[in-house]
Amino acid sequence: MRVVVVGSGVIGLSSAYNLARMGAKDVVILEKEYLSYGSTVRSASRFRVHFWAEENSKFALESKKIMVRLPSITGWNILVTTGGYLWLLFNEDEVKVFRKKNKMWDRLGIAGKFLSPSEIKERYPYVYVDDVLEGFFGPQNGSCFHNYVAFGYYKAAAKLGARLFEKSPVEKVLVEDNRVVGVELPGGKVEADVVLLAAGAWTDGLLRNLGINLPTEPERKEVALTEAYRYFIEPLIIDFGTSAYIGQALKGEILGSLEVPVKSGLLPLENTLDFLVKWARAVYKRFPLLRGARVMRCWSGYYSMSADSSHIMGRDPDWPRGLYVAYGDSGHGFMMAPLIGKLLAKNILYDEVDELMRPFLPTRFKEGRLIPEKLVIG
Amino acid sequence: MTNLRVKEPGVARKGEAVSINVDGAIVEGFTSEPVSVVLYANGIRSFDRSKKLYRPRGFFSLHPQARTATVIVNGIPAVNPSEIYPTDGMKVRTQQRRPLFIRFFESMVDTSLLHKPIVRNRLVWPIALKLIGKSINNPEPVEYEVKHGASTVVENADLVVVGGGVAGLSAAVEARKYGLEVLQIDDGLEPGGEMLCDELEPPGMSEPGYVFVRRLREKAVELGVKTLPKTTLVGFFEDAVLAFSPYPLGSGTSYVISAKAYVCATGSVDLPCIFANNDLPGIMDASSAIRMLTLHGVVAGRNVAILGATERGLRVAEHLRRHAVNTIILDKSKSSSGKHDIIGGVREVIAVGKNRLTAIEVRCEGESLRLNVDCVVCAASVNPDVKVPAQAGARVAYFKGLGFVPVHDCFMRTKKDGLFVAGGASGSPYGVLHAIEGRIAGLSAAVALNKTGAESDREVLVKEYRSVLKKLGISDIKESVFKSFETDSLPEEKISEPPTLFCMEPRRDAFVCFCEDIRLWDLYRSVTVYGFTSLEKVKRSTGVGTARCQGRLCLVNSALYVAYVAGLSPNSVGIARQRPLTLSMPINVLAAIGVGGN
Repeated sequence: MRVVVVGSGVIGLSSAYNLARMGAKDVVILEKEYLSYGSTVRSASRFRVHFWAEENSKFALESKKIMVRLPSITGWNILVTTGGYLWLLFNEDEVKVFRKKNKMWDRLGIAGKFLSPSEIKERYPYVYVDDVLEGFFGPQNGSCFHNYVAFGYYKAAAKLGARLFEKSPVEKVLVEDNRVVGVELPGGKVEADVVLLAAGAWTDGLLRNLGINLPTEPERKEVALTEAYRYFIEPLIIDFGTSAYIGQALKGEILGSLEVPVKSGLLPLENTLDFLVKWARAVYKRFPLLRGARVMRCWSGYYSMSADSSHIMGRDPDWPRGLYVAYGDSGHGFMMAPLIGKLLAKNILYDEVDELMRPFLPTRFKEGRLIPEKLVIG
Repeated sequence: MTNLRVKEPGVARKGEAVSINVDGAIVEGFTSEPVSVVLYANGIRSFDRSKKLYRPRGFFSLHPQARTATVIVNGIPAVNPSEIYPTDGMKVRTQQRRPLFIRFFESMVDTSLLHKPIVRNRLVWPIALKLIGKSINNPEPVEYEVKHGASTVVENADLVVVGGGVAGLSAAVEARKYGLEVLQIDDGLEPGGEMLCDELEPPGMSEPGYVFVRRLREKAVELGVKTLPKTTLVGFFEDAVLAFSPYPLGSGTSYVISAKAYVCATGSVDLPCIFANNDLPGIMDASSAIRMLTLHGVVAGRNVAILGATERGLRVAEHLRRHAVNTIILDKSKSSSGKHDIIGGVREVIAVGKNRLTAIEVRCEGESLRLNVDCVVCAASVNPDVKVPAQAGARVAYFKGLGFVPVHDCFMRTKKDGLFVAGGASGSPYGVLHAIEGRIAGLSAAVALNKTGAESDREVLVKEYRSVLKKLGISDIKESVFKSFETDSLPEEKISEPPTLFCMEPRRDAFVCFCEDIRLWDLYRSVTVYGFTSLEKVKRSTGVGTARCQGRLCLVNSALYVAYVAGLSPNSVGIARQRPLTLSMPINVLAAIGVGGN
């Protein structure tokens, strides 16, 4: 049986690795540009377990367990740090919501801690807290280096026999007698029994070609990065109101983003001065220490946003046989990827739908069982 | 300490004499020279320590974008001493700290050891992480008081010329003749670029370079070309074009620009030569050596070795010799000429010295010798400065003999509408060609804005251009670039050894990136052990091109080396995507944009 994985982002690679590990003999990864081009290389590389929806929290929790073990699985040190996430809350409503959610998180064993502004000041003296009502700290969350996660998965998959073809843009999924028979590339076609679409923001187009319409849309997000400074910001700090976030990478660069209104769709991966100025203002206000810090670079990537902001994985029985998807991650695909790959491989090879995976099936949209996720950062 | 200031000043006007305080000692300098030059002239060559290995760092290049070493100025951290000019009483602090546990630390950051089971072990890693976080040599962010706030200026023009060298000036003058409103952006104290530093006759010209360019500058002023000095174009954004000047010190000025056309005349970058200990202070690029001498009256050393018997290398030697400097030229090819002291057939160079260069060991075929030199000038190869055109959207490709070039046609148009290149930025060799190309680019901008008469004038000039190309013997190479513009096909030729490589094996002390301490050995491993052969992947596995200098000094060298090791053409290795900003800008300047006036 040949499995074609379309897309060599972290989800495609993790799926390919797990497929190969569980015994798929012929795994082919097709990538339109170069290894992990697309969203993975543009990621802010953070993982967290605190989600609005219980399903997402559970999923992320299991995924994190695999993530932190990755160095021994793939042989690549992914530079895990667990500095936590600090949400800054500005009004009673926001605090109330987090208190309610914390009960759910407590049940899952991942309760966070509420911090008063003075406690925040004590722990993180560099944060401006005068306008903050309360903070919520989730110590279980952290960061790791996205490129080493992707490269590690790729190397491990290649070792097990999976083959990667770069500069191979899939134009169309070929279907005969209601089953998948392969994919079409500019230079010819690749036969397949199973096609897994894990092409992130580019998945929509491939599905639409097949007459499948899922409520997903790419949304461009921008990220900015400063020069390296001495490592001092341990957690990722998020303004809950504006969704502005800032964190520091191990090498010392301070990285962050915030939401600016953009049209959805595959906009060119350029940057806007509008974003940069708004982010600089947010940093200027929140981190007086960083007012003279020099912004070195900015770039943009896509969030593949689904209607309920939760990821989509698996297949719909009405689709042609052999067609699977894993996309629509709405910005948290990187942290979910280890588990998505594992469960999807089981699903493809043994037709098994894990309980953790069941809520995320693409059928949820027509059945009206949405998983509204409101903690989308950035 | 030998005095490096030459008695007769060069072509430059000296500014006022000032004294600045460097780590408690008083040092004399002039307001017309960057702080780097003041330090260098006074024998202070190491200003900083490198990020991972704590090796001494001075400046390799005086270009403001080559931020490989930073100092603390008046309490402001991470200031590039090459982009600021001294004022009386300025306080400069250099960084010389080198922790004791450095030996242990060195092994921790080594990219190969990072992935060793003992380090990545779940119990060991958190401890290692703490150590790494503590010991990476990054500047400390501090809150400092800014005397003058950041300001924003909105500029509108028909044409923006990026770069104030001979190509940029020619473009500005030509476009101005057709009535275009021209704004010129230059990162120097005064426009003139490389040719302003040339006391000799550039190829194809019959007068000294500085005389020619000064006249051109006067012409530009006369015609009303507006110039922003000490300013760098930092980015083409979707909604605006942004330029930045680091003055007033501690914050800066940003310029939000909109124009109908852009000419990129950003010149070229001298590629660092790669050899053992090539990061030692005292090793610099050709343009800095010439600029220091002719503009600031400071010789790079008393005994100087020049790598590369290129046109550029010989020019540096000629300039230095006029001021009684002993020079010797080292070249990889076997030929040697009588006029200069050239050692041919050099295979390997090893720099010797602790905190500064004191000697080099040279291995030629069959023999090896030791030269006591206090300065090495890298003049083996140049590459167009493609950061701005690539980031603006021009297509960049490798052409043998020119380097990574923005693909353009004979009208100097690039693949991006309204964006033109000229001079060193288009890959053309130094000299009269830069002036001609600049004029063509200026005319093309006028044509793009539908100015009558520009098109026919351009036809005439292009004819002249083609005949000069023939005369200089580079017609074939340039025509292949023009052809690529039409056909979109790229040469897929493999390359032999990169011209900058003076190293026989992938050494762990031959540096490719000075900002992040990335060695030849790291690149070699990325290609041979991990099998990464495109620069995008090499960049992400090693970190090359991601640090302060934004890849200015390392990307081209890395691409050529990867192509050489992997046996591929440089075009299939590619040059990594260029992103804004070209020069990093403080948060307070960015935050101030649009607040006042706009």
